[in-house]
Amino acid sequence: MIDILRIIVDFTAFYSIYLMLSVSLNLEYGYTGIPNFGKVMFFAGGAFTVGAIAGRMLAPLAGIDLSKLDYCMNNVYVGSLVSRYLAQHAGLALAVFIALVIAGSLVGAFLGWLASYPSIRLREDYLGMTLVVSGELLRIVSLNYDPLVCGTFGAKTPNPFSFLSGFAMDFTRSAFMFTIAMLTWLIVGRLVKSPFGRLLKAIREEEEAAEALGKDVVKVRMKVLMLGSAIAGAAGALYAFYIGIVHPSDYAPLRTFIVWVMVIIGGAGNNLGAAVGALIYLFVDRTLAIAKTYMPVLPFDLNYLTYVFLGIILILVLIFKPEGLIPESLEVREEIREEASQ
Amino acid sequence: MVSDLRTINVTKRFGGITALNSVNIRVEPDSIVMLIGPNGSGKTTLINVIAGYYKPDKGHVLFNGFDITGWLPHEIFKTGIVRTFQIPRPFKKLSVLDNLLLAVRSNPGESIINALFRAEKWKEREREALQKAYDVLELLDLERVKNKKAAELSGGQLKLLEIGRALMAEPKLILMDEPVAGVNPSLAHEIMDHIVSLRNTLRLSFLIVEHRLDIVLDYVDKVYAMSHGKVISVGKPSRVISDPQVVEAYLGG
Ligand SMILES: Nc1ncnc2c1ncn2[C@@H]1O[C@H](COP(=O)(O)OP(=O)(O)OP(=O)(O)O)[C@@H](O)[C@H]1O
Ligand SMILES: [Mg+2]
Repeated sequence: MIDILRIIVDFTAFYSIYLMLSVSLNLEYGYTGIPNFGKVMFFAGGAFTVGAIAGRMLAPLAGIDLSKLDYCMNNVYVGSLVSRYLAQHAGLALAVFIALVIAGSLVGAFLGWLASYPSIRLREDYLGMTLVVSGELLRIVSLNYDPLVCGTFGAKTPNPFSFLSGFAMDFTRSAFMFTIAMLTWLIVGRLVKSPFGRLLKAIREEEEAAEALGKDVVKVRMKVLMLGSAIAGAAGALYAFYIGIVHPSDYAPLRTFIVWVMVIIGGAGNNLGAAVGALIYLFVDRTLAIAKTYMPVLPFDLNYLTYVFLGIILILVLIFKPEGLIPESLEVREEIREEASQ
Repeated sequence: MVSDLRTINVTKRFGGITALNSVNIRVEPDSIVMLIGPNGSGKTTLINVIAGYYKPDKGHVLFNGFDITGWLPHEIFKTGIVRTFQIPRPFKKLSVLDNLLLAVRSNPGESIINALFRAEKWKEREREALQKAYDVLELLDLERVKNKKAAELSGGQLKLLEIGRALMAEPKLILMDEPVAGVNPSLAHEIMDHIVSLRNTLRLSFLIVEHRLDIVLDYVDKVYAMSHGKVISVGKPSRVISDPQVVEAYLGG
């Protein structure tokens, strides 16, 4: 019984992260038409923020003098001492958790702002390529530059929920993550139903006509990229806390493509679609991860099967429901419905 | 509403082609001005230069005394100039109504903060806009399709939607690129009547590019004729169309 609960709790934590990523890409690509092929960069931005700051910032509180000790060589040790310290200070631990998630989203937003500069000058396809490359750049730099997240060692992140233990800890952590993800989903949902959302679609559909109607397309794109990247940054921070270590090689372009698959399967331009797409991905991924533990040794890594399954689902969706399982819906303004009911 | 547009020696080249060759035109306050000329004579290019889509190689565009040369399209919109496109550019996946509502000037709901937290602020504006949109739909005979995707409209309806968006934008001057091409004649006349009444009541001005002289000519105050990027004739409609140079340009191509 507890096993199933554990699975659900683990599932919820991952879902929260994927939901945020999928919602943010959907905002950028599905609604606004920005081909963000660099999603992982903003995700990494948030995760690296936690990896770079959390241990170093809290070490002195846990009685560790970092001037006498090489942080990177000892970061696992430091991390566990910090977690032990946080276990005694629940309030501080949660404050640090929230503050770093916010910091992660700010770093994400900042990277989004930087990335929006080429979007002013570059055509969409070139912008997509630029974003892929910048994401790789961030990964490679961080792999080789220890002061960030300890390069190839990776940086351990302290556990802000260590004041609890066992199932209670997992449950609380997942509840926090899911709350943040749901809030994000609801906020974006509200945004895309407003005149702002309509403006995004207009820019996606016909940029020059939007300009003719006085819309500052460049500025709107910049805002969207910042907002989407802030969400991805927050997701990265949550992920860093959840898995307990930040390792640069974990932030490869493959992650970006997984998020694209979620959005395309779920339905680009539909907020519910983004949620469904993330759910489907998660279902395939987690089911196989769990199956793996029950399977005999296979001649290949079962994780790869995830990609096979996803590939098949993607192809089927593109053939039978090219606009995704929950396609973009035509907005009929409220007042119109009122009028019709009169 | 004042609106006084001038172009001064506007020249625009595309590689070897001189699409506009030192063009001087003026759209006076409260006037409906027509621009005619054979295909490829530079009419659309002139609209694109005025509306900020192209930067002229030489010359200036003045609006109400301001030099707006080289301003960006959305900045030019703010001065009160709105353009339509010769080949319609609808927001295809949006409803016809949403296409119109998008044209609303400085909609508070188009800012993230207002959209999220100050619904009262934009809902009011949206209601006003909706009222106006219904009037525009009625004028353009588009009521029946208001909740359809713009992508599902016919060619003529798309031209009407172009006009509709411009009317929604509270403009001072509308640059219309072939507004009635492909629109049935009786509706085209209604649209022209409406344009005249907008000029008379709201004091809007119009610069209308159109090949359909038979429909539009009677409604306009002044005509410019262009050929090969140059203005070759200007004046009262009757004078310009009987100008031998204009006749020559049309016949000789
Ligand atoms: N973006 C462009 N790039 C290159 N050449 C262009 C461009 N736009 C227009 N031209 C050229 O400039 C000339 C004038 O074109 P323009 O579209 O202004 O003609 P027009 O008078 O509007 O014709 P029509 O009545 O057919 O619409 C043409 O020779 C055209 O090929
Ligand atoms: Mg033209």
